[in-house]
Amino acid sequence: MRGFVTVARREIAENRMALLAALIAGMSPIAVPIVRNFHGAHASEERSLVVFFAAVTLAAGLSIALGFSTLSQGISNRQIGFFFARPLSSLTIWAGKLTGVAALALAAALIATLPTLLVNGGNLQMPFGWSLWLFLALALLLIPVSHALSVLLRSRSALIGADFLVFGLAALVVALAARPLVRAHAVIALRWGLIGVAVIVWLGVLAAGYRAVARGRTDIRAAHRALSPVLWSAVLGGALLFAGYTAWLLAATPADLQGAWGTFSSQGRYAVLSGELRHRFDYRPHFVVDLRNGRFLKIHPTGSAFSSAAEKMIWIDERDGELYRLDLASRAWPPQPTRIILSSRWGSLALSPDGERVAIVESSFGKRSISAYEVSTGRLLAAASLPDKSNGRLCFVGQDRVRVYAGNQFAAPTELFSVAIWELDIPRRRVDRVGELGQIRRRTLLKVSPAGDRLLALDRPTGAVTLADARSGRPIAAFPPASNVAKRNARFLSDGGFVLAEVLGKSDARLRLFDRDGGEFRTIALPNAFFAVAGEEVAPRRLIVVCRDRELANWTTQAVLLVNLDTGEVREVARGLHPVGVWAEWMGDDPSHFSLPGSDATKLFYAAAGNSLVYFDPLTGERHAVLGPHRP
Amino acid sequence: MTTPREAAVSLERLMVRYGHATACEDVSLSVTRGAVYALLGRNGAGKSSLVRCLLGQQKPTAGRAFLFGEDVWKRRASLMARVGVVPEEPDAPPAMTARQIADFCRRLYPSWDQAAVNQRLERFGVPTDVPFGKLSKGEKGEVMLAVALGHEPELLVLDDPTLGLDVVARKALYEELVGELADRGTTVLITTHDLSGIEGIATQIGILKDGRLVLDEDAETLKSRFRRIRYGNQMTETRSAYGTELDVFEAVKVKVRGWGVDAVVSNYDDVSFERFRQTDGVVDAEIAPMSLEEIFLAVAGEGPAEKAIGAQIAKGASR
Amino acid sequence: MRALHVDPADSTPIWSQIEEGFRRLVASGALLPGVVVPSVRDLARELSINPATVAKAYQRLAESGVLTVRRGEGTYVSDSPPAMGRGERARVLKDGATRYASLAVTIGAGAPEAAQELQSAWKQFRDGAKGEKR
Repeated sequence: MRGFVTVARREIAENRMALLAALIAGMSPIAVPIVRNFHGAHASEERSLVVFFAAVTLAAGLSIALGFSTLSQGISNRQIGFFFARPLSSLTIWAGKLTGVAALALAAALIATLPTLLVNGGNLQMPFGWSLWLFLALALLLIPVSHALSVLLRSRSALIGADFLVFGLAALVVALAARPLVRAHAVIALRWGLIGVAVIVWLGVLAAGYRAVARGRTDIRAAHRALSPVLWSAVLGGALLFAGYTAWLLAATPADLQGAWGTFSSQGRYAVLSGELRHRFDYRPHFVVDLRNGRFLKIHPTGSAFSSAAEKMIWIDERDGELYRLDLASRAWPPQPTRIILSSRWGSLALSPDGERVAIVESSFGKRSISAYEVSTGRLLAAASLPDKSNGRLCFVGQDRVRVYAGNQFAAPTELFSVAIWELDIPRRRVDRVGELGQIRRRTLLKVSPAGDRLLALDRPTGAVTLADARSGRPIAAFPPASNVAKRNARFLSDGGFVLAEVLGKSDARLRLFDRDGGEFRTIALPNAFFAVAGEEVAPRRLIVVCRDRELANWTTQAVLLVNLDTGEVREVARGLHPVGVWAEWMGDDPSHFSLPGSDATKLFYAAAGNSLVYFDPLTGERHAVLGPHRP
Repeated sequence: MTTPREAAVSLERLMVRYGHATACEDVSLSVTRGAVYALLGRNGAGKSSLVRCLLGQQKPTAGRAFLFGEDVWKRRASLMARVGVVPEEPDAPPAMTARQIADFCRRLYPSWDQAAVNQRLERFGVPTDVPFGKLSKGEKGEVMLAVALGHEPELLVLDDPTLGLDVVARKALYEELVGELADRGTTVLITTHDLSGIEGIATQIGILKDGRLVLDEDAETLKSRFRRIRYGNQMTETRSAYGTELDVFEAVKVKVRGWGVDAVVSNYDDVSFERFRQTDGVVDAEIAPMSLEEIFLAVAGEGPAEKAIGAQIAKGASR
Repeated sequence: MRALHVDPADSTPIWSQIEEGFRRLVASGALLPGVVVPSVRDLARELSINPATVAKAYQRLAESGVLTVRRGEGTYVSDSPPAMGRGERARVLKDGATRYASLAVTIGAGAPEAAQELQSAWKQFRDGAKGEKR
């Protein structure tokens, strides 16, 4: 210990000129505001900024310069023998000198901050709230790195070629392993991985530097020969561990999902799910999942669509903008490229009910166009430009026609505008404007009835609901905002009619039933609800409604009610569940999406407890987890 | 040959190679405690590499070095507490004064006699507050010696300590050395070119030639078996040629001159010489003793012609 | 000890040269009985030779009675010539004679010449000693 202290003190004494330089450098933060004519708090801030950079630069500069010279120069000029001829172990010499350099660099940095500290009255505001200590510590970490580098360079040995080869190889491994993470925008995951590699490499550099001193002693070439193997192990080891880490990261399965959400097929058997993955930071891939048997496929979509009648789906790959298709019923699940490439990675798309045709609205160079392709061959069936410079919500009407409800994405949120209704006739290859829908805002939800003939426009902020003809946009019935109606939402029923869920005041809610022409025929009261949303039919004429009965309640305690539309009976069947269809509606915007009554799609809920996806049949009470930590 | 246990220094088949160049090869030697071993060799003969290996500062390519029976590469730090080193190039940090150097070293050794160090520096007349880098070569050497002796080492290793010193400084150095020998019986290993200076002090002589130890012998024995023989040869037509009459003496170097033969022999004894003198044809035979310098020149002198002779000398040493 | 010269190059061992030197000095009266001689350390330093060598010479001189060691006080020239048995004296003389004879032979001197030199050296010592005693 004594030897260590003696060596360290000597190293500091040897380079004490640096402290003088630090004091001089410490004057610059004082001078700068004076030169720039700042005063008061502004000057104080300026000084802090300058001193921060001065101190960190000083610490880093000294760390690099002294780290480079401290041990290796002694070998080159044969002065290191002085230490090796004393009863000092290699560890003492190495640690003592490096610690001396560290102490000196740190002291210099702190000395540089003293004048500013005095002038600022003991107040140093670090830029961006960064910690000065953290950056000084990072600067000091350069010391062993600089030392190792000096051994590599001063030895003038051909071995350095091998060193660089190894570095290059490791960098290549890291770059290749990092690529999928970069594409998946998993920045935090990447960051932690790289930090891990950096720590391993730094530790390796430290150990390698020690070994160089312990084995090389007065011979710089022997030092290099001793240093390289340790360095290579650390660098390659770190790279391989990083590759393993990324591989593990990428090997996530739906079972790792904590709190999945996504879109579901109309029957509810398949879903495209995403969400936070356990221990995977911000790596959030999407999974196509067969909820019945757990089979899954990882995809990177910017948009996806299920076919309503057949078990097929398509998605747009975010990496290259190509459309991929998947035959969900097939035994294997190879994603098949369709050779349909979108001009940009985003676009609205819709899949025909049989999954054989896809319609895409794209915009390129300010022009919008709609195209229809045959999915299996990629053949263009029809294409036309859409005069409106606006977003389109698409839905297929049968196999041959695609309706586009062209909105206005540039409108202000509260601005009212008209939506033009266009229809693409695929066999005839033409697009015609068939109607217009008025009184629409940007956030208005559009739903098309299962038969495709009626349309509900639901203005979420005001609660205004309009029933219109799906093709012409001619209003059939209107439900403007009423003073006693706090919230309103609407849903089509399987028989073509629709239901309005209205919240009146703070604890009163009701369901109003209408026929397909907007004729009201029944009202059902809902108990104690300040929030009520109509869900889907778990069986024909049996509707799920979610209610919250307390002001500050959220979905984790909300009640799930089963309403018999024929008898008006209302029964609470569960708590803390949220129907996936209602969620999808909030998040996505497919006007034609309709879950078949009684299908699994109507019985899938997000459960607050355990962040899982559950299957719950309110009629039978059967309940089991589909995904999440409590999977059976 | 003393076992490693007893010897202060023991080298076993030491080899040092740098790439394709061999600095020393198959060097085995032993320095008994209390001995003064003078290792001689021309520049480039491998002395420095050997000394570095001996001090655990460099790992030999092959072979091992022991100090006091312990492997010096493995146990360098603890062994250096018992060893004083005066390197060929004074390696103390140039910014340190003699006082600071002594202070630095004082903290590293369990026993340190600062008074003795001060006395030595005073005796040498070395200024203690001048940075080391500004001292003369001689003063630097004196500081290194003073500091090397400060912890009363059992072994003192000096690598060419008199290089660049004037007569006065050299004398001071030898006085100091002899004083140390008298007071503590320190074992000394010294490599040097000042053969006349070390002649009286060395008890063991080793000669390194082209990386090999061609001679390793007690000083007195060495001196006793080497002679210079001059004579005239009347056995042949000219006085100057020589035949087999010198074989018994194992001649090392034979020069044929106008007046006769001038031979350096390595296996001399009086009886043989008397017989030699009586030999027919040998006239005016005389012998002269040889200084260490002359022996060294004969053994380690120039070139390949003497290589075979090196083996002969080594043979003679095993008597 | 200015009068004591050692030639490391000489074929005779250094301890022998020192021993001989002392004997000569004592015999010639240059070193009187009772006079203190330099310590091993001091003589070694002065001559730049190994103290062990000096010590060996001193030991032999002490054994043969030329020098006396008094513990704590130093080394002195003995007061009187060493008391030796006849056998020992004969041996010492024989040793010396052999050495002298071999020396003479190696330089090619004949017996008469050698004997003559011996006599004149003897006379020199005698006269010198006599001179000092007066």
